[in-house]
Amino acid sequence: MQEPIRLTRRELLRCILATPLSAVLTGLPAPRAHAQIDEFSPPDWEWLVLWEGRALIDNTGRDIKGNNANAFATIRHAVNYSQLLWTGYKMGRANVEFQVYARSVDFSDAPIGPGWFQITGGTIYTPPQRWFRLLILDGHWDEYRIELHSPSPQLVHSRLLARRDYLPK
Amino acid sequence: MPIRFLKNASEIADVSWESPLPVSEASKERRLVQAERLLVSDTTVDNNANRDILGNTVADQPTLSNCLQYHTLLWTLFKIGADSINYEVLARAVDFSGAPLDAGWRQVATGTITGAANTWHRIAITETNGLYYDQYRIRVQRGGTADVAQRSVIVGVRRCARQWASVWWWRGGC
Repeated sequence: MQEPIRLTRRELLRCILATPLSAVLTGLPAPRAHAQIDEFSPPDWEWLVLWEGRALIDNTGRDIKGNNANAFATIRHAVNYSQLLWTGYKMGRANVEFQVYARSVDFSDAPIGPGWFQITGGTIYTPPQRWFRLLILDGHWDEYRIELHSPSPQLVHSRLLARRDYLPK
Repeated sequence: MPIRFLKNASEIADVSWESPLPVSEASKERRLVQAERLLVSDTTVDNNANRDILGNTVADQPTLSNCLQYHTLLWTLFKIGADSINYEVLARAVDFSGAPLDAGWRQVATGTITGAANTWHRIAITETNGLYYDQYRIRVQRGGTADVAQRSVIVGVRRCARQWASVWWWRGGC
């Protein structure tokens, strides 16, 4: 005759609580739905925040960080980004002129020449305390400078995003 | 209680550093596009029609090699001299030993860079379905009578070509 299985109360409790969980974890197949979604709908790109802040903009040619030394880049090490997206909030009434510049650097991170290549430029006409947005399509430069001019000083809030594209599998 | 998972058809393993939970192969193989600086040059362009931007005048010598992964080449040039620069971008494929398939080159771009002294220029070198050649030779020759000093940077861009994206999607590859 087979010996009866003797269990303490503690072992019985462990069987009741642990067995169903371990069966789910080990015995049943993992749901495939998530894997399928991963495989067939991966993101094509992602947006990364490069900088966020505000600066008092006057007519001396300051960038969105407030730096008015023309040789300084607003963003460096940007060669992997295919696009930039600048979202801003203008506090004052005066129009703001903007210029977007870019340049390449050598292997020691020194620009290959003085000055900048101008990508785009324009004027932001929005009323005070309004949002604006600019998409910069000319990508894969090493360094960028977004320079602003305002006839009367005003605060400009900025959020600069950069797009990194994914390769196909 | 350790977390356990089905490692293969018959083995149940505890999660640990040595045997982590499996992740989807699709996610592991995803790579970000890398745009890489391939070349920096500082040369003077003269009247030699065979000179490339590295200064080499041997017609068969590539300016860039191992470029199969690049969809587009972005050429940034800072022109120090005032005269124009004529350029020609040539490309070719190589076999598995790295030798060109045959003599000569295929022209993929040509043009003239004009503008004042000390100006920036950018040329996007690409084709409808992407470049993806193995080697390139970028020839430069002065357009006027005076030699022109220049500095160049070439950036290679790996990219999912948009025109093929729908095909990749259909094949589950993009």
